[in-house]
Amino acid sequence: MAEPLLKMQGVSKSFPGVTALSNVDFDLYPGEVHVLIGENGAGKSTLIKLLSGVYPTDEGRFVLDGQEVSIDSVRAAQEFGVATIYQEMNLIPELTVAQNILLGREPRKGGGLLVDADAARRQSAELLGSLGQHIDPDAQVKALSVPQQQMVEVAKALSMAARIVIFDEPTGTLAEKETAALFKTIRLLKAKGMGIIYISHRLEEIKEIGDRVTVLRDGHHIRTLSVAEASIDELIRLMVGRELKDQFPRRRQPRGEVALELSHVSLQGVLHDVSLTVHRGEIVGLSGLVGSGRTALARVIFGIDRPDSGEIRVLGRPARVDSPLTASKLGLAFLTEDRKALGLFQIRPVSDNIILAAIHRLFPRFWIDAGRERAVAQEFVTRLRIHTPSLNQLVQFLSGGNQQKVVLAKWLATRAKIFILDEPTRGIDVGAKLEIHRLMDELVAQGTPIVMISSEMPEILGMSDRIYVMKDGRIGGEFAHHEANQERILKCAVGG
Amino acid sequence: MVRLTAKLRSAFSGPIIICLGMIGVFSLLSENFFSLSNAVNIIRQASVLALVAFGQTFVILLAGIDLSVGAVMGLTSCVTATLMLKAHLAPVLAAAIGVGVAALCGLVNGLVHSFLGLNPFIPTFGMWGMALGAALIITEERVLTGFPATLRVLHDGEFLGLPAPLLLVAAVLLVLHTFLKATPHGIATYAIGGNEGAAHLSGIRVRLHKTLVYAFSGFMAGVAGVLFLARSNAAQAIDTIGYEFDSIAAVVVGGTSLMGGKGGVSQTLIGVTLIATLRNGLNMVGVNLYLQLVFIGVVLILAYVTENQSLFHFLRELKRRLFGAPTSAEEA
Amino acid sequence: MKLWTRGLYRLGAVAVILAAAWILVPRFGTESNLINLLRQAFLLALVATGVSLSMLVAGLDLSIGAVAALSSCLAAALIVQGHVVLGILAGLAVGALGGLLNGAMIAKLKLPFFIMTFSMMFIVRGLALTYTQGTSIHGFPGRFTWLGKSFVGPIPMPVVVGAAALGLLHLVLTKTTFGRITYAVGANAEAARFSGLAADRNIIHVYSLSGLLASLSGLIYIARLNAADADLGMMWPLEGIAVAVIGGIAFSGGEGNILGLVLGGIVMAVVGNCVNLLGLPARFQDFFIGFVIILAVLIDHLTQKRGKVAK
Repeated sequence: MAEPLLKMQGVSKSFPGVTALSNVDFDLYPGEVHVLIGENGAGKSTLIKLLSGVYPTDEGRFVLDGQEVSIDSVRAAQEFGVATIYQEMNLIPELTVAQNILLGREPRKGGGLLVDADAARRQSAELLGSLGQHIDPDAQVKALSVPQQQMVEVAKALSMAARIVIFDEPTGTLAEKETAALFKTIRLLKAKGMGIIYISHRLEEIKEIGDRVTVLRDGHHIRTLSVAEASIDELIRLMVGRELKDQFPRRRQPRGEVALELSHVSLQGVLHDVSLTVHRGEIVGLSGLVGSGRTALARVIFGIDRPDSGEIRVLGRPARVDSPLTASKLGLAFLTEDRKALGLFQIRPVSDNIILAAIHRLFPRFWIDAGRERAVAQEFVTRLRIHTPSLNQLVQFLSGGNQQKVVLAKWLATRAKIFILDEPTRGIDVGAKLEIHRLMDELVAQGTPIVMISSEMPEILGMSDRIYVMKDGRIGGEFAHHEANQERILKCAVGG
Repeated sequence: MVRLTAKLRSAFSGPIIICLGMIGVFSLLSENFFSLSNAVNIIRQASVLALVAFGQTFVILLAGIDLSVGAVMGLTSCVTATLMLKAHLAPVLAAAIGVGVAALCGLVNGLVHSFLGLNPFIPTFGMWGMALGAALIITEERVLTGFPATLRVLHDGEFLGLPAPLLLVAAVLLVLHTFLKATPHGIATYAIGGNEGAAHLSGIRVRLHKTLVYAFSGFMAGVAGVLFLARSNAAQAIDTIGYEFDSIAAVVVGGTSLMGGKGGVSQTLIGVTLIATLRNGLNMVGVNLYLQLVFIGVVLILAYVTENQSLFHFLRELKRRLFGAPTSAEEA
Repeated sequence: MKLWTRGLYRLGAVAVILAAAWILVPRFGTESNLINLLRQAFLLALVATGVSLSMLVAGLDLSIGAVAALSSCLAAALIVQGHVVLGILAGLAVGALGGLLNGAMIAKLKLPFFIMTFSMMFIVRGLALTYTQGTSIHGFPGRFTWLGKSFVGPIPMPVVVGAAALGLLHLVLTKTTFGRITYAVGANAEAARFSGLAADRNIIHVYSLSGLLASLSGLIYIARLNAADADLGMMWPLEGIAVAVIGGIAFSGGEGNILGLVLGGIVMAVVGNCVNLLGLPARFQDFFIGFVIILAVLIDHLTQKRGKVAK
C-alpha cells in the first residue's frame, strides 16, 4: 500500500470547559475517500479545523508525506495543500467567480501592483473545465445556484494545489441529481491522487462514495473500518454507543377529518395548480428535488407569500392567510429550514424563546407574570427533554438538537393545530434525531397533523403516512405509506 | 433598441437621474445657476466633503463606519494652524504633521476595532469626543487666524485653467478607484466586507487590513481638514463637526451599501455631487436657509429609494399601504 | 443569573467612579453639587431613552434632537399665550407623530433606519428653524416653568419627572408583552415575524415612543431654560448614544435595560461635573467622555467573553 498522505497521531484539543478531541489517530491515503462520522459534539469539525489551521493543536503530531509538519495557521495549512469546503459557503457573493477562486492569490501585472484580470479569467476557466463545469468566470457568485457555488469552491481548492480536500457536509442542501454530480467530481479528484476527507450525517451516502470510514464519539477515535465491511446499523451503534431500535417510531392510528386542504393553489413561477389534503392524525411527507417548490408551498400555507389563485381551507373553513400573524391565529405552526436565522432568538434565554410565539395567548392582558412564564417554560423543557443548564441559558449555547427542540416547544406552546416542519432533523445527530421523531409521533397520536418536508429519503419513507412528491412546482405524485419506495418517489421527483 | 435603453437605464442610476433632474429644475428657476463660475463654486464647496467621503467609503465597504472624521478633520486643521502660528513651522510641514495626526487617530480606531473586536461605532465615536476635545484644548477654544496663506492655493488656485480642488479630487478619485477595482488589496476590501470569514480563510490578513483602512479614513479626513483650512483661512475646533454624518449620507446616497462589499468611490462622488448641487441650487433659487434643510432631507430619502429600490416599486408600495389593498399585514 | 451579572459589574463600576470622585474632587460631595449631578444625570438619561429604544430594535433614532426642537417650539408658541396644557399635549403629539413617520417608513417601506432618521433630522430641524426663523420664544407662565424649576423636597422636578418616566419605561420593557416583543424584534426581527408576532407594528410603536420621549425631554428643557430655541438638542443624538453605550445597550439590538441608562447618565454627568469642579475648561469633557465610552464597552466585552462556552 502506498505511503499515507496524512497521518495524525495522538491529537488532542480542549476548549475552556470541554475536551473536544482526545488522543485521536487518523490517516489518509492518496486516491481514497475517508469518511468521518459521529454525533454532533463528537469532534469531527474540531478535527478538520485543526487540520485546516483554524485552531492550533494542544497535543499530537501531523505527518504529511512522511514529514512532520506544524499547522499553525490557515495559510500554513493551505501551503501544505489542505483545502476545506465548509457547509456554509465561503464565497464572496458580490465578487465574480474568477475573483473568488483566486482570492488572495491573484495573478499580477503592472509590476505586481495590479491584478491581471485576463490571466485570472483564463486560469479559472481552465480549473472549472477540468471539473467538467462550464461556469462563466465573470459571473457574480450570488447569481449562481448552490451546486454551482460548490463547484466554484472545489475549483478554488484545485487552484491552491490542494492534495487533501475536506468536504464538510456537502450534500445538506443538495438534491439527488446534484449529489450524484458532486460524487462524480469527487471521483475525479480521487483519480488525480488526492485524498478526500468526507463528513456527513447521511449514512447511506457512505456506501456510495466512501472507501474507509472512521467513527468518532465524545472526542475519541472509536473505530476505523473499510466501507465494504461496515453495516449502517453497526455504524449507528458505534456512533451512539448503544443500540438504537426503531429508527422511525410509528404508532399508526386511523385518519381523522380533513384539517388542511389546498385547491388549485398557484404562485407565478413557483407553484402550479397545487392541490392536497392533510387529515388529522397523519404525517404527510413532502418530497422532491431542491427547488421543486416544497418550501415555497409551506410559505404560502403559512402566509409568508400570497398565492395568485387557489383556495386554502384550514380546519374546514376557507382561510385567507395573508401573514404569519394570521396563520398563527388560525392554529398553524411553521418550523423553518433555517432554525438559527428564522426560528430562534439566539441572544435571548430559553424561556423567552419558548413563550414568545404564544405570548398573547399566555398573557392576554399585556402583563407578564414571571411565575407563569417560568412554569410554562419548565413544562416544555421537561416534556421535550431539552438539555440546558437553566431556563435562563441563552439559546445560542445549546446544541443543534436541543435548539430544534426549543423551536418545537415554541410552537407547541401556541397550541397549534397543524404543524409544518421543514427539514426538521437536518444537521442533527442521530440520537437527537430519534428524539424529535418520537416527539413528532406523539404529536400526531394526539390528532395534530404534521406536514413534513424532508430531503432525507429514509425519513420520508419511515415517518410519513402519505407522501406527496413535488416537481417543478406541481404535485408529481401521491403515495400511501405501504406503496412508497425510493425508486417510485425519485421517478416522480425527476419526472419519468 | 431595447438593449440600448436597458444599458442606458443601468448606467444612469437613481442618484444620477435625480442630480440631472435637479440641475434641470434649478437652471430653469435661476438664471445664475447654469454657469461655469457656479459649477466651479459647487466643485470647490464639494471638494472637502468628497475627500472625507472617499475615506468613509472604504470603511463602509468593510461594513464598518467612521464617526470620528468630522472631529479628526477639525483636529488636523487646528494642529496645522497651531504649528504654523506657535511653532512657526513651514506650512507644508505643518500640514504633513496635521495629516499624520489624523492618520494616527484612524489607526487607533482600527486597532481597537480589529484587535479588540469592538463594534466600530464605539471607538470611532469615542475618538470623535477625544479629537474634538483635543482640538478645543490646542486652540484654547479660540479661532486661530493670521497664519501664512501658502496653503490657500489648494483651494483658490488654478492649474491648466481648472480649479485646484477639482484636480485634487479627480486625481484622488482615479487612484482610489483603480485601487479598489484592480488591485489585490482593493478586491480584498470588498471580500472582507462581503464575507469576512471567507476572506480570512483565503489567507487575507483581515485584522491588519481593517486597521489600515481605518487609518486611511483618518488620513483622508486629515487631507480634507487641510483643504478646509485652506478654504476658511481660519481654524476653529467645532467648524467641521457635522462632516461625519454628511460623509456617511454621501456614501449611502451614492449607492454603497452599509452592509459592506458593494459600491465604490465613483458612486460616492455622485452622492457628494448630489448633496452639493442641492445646497447650491437652493441657495441660488433663494430658498430660505432653514427651509433648505427640509429639502435636503427629502432628497436624501428619494435618492436612496431610487438607487436601491425602483421608484415605481416604492410609490406602489406606498400607495398600497396608504390606501390599503385588503392585504393588511397586521390587525389589532 | 447570566443576564444579571453584567448589570452588577456596571453598578459596581459606577459606585467606584462615584467614590473616586467624592474623594478626589473638591466640593463634589456637597448637597448642591449632588443635586445638580442628579438633575443632569436624569436629564441625560431621559434624552437617551429615545435613542435606546430604537437601539433595542437594532435601529437608531438620529432625529430625537430635531423632534424635540420642533415640538418644543410649537408647544412654546401655545404656552406663551397661556395655553399650558394644550401646549404640552401638542408638543407630545408632534413628537409621537414624528416618531410614527419614522417607524412607518422603516418598518413598512423598509427604509434603512440611518437614512430615514438622518433625513428626518434635516427635515424636522429645518421645519423648526423655518418656524422660528432663528428667534427664541420666551416668557412662559409659572405654571409651566414649574416643571423645570420647582422642587419636591430637595429633589428637582426634572428628576422626579425623569425618574417617573424611566421607571414606567422599565416596567413596560420588562413586564409587558410589548416590552418582551421589543427585545425579540431586536434580537431577530425575521424570527419574530416568522413566529407570528406583529414585528412591524412593534417597530412603529417603538419609534413613536422614541419621538414622544424626545418631545418630553424637550419640554422639560425649555421649562428649565424658560426659553425655546430651534437649535435645541443639536448634540442629543450623540449624547444619547454615549449614555446608551455606557449603559450597556448594544447596537445590534435586543440587549440592555433602563437601569443601565440611568447608570450611563450618572457616569456622563459625573464626568462633566468633575471637569467643571476641577477647574478644567469644558473642552476636556469631550475628551474624557470619548475615553470613558471606549472603556465602558471594553469592560462589557471582556466580561461577556468569560461567560461564553466554547462549542
